[in-house]
Amino acid sequence: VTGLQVLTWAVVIIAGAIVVLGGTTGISRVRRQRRAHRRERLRDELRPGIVAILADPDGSHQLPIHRGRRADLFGVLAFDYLAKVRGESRDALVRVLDERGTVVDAERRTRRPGTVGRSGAAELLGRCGLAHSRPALERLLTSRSKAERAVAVRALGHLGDPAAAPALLEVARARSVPAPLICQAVVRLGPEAQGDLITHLRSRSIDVQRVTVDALGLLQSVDAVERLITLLPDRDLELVVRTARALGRIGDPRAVAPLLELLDRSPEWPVVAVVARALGELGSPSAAPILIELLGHERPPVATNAATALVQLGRAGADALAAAVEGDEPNPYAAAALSRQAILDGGAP
Amino acid sequence: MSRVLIADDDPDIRELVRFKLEQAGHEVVAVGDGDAAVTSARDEGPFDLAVLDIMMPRRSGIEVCQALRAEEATRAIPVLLLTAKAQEKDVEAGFAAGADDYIVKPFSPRELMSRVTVALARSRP
Repeated sequence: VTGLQVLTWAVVIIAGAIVVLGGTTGISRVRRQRRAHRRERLRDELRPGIVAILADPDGSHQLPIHRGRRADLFGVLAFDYLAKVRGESRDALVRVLDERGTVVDAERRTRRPGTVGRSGAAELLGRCGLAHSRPALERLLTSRSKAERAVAVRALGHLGDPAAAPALLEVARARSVPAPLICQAVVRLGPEAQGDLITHLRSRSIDVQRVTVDALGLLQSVDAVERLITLLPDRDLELVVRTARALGRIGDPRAVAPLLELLDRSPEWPVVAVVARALGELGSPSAAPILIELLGHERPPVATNAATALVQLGRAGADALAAAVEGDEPNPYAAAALSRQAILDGGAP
Repeated sequence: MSRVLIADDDPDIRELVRFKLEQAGHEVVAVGDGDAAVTSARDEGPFDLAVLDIMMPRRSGIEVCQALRAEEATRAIPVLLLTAKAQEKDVEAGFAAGADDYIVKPFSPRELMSRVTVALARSRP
């Protein structure tokens, strides 16, 4: 066998492999396109039934019972529509899905093997938002799959049932789902969950406390202010920072004096930076002297927040900022805050 | 009966809006992208109202709105933007482009119809 023959065979084999690979890729692409096309056609066939419900929510609607692929696709289509409409049209679609047994079927699917199926069922239950789905979703919070637990947390948030608060906070204790996701779900439960949340501020778990503080801040829970103030002397720096931020968001004037006291005794700059911002949000002129002092802080985030807070104080802060930008060494943070405000007000900086 | 142009690349929304408008007795022309919307407005007019999505292929709803306002024949068509873009700056951009109304998705079909009725009533001499 000569070298030329070996080379020829090698070229033939490579060319053959390229042709086979190209052919296979082409065929699979055509198959995919045809499948997508069939799917679209089927979706077009099923759509009018759902559109009729959405367009006439008060009417009585009897949809045909679909089986197999049609049933799956009907579920997907209904699921998609639930995210696109709101109001009584959405409620009517949920009612029809519930009457058809789609919701009960999804609750059943949360117990079957297979993470993908269980997660899909949880998503549907979350979108339908029916209170009777809560136990099925809460069961998924202890799933071995991290993705499934996250889906269940989101779905419980969408459900908006305040009774889900303890189960969601338990997930925070177990650290089995990222805290921001839990906080978002808890906030979705709405102001009615406040009572449970305030009780959990005393939790022994620092993770539960942190999530609860964030959620109460985002819910602007005035009822939680007194209890939040008691957390300001806590030894956990992160909890203190979150509590100060929450008090700023809530905006209750009872928080001003405790936050000023915290500035007196806490030298840690992250705490000082957040407290400065919170004092601005609270809008109390009594905070102006300490904020003016903080304009000269060695840490830029502290000085920046102090300048922003002074802008938020209105007249009391504006004069101090104007004075800070005059003279031989104008304060850059004050200048930046004033320029930013001028742009926001629609004028030139 | 009024003639309404709908432009939305999502067939689920397009068909729902079409159904609601036809149910109310309006004649509807529905298209799936921005270029088709401008062409239809120009060639298949006159229209009494245009319901436009913002995020569409080829040309956005904002660009379609600007194109409608730039031409004599389509300048007077009231435009209702129906979009998932809910930030203040998006709403501002919509009105700056010449839109008459702005509805955020997910939307209520009943609310949409109320706004359509008001827009049509306003546009009639």
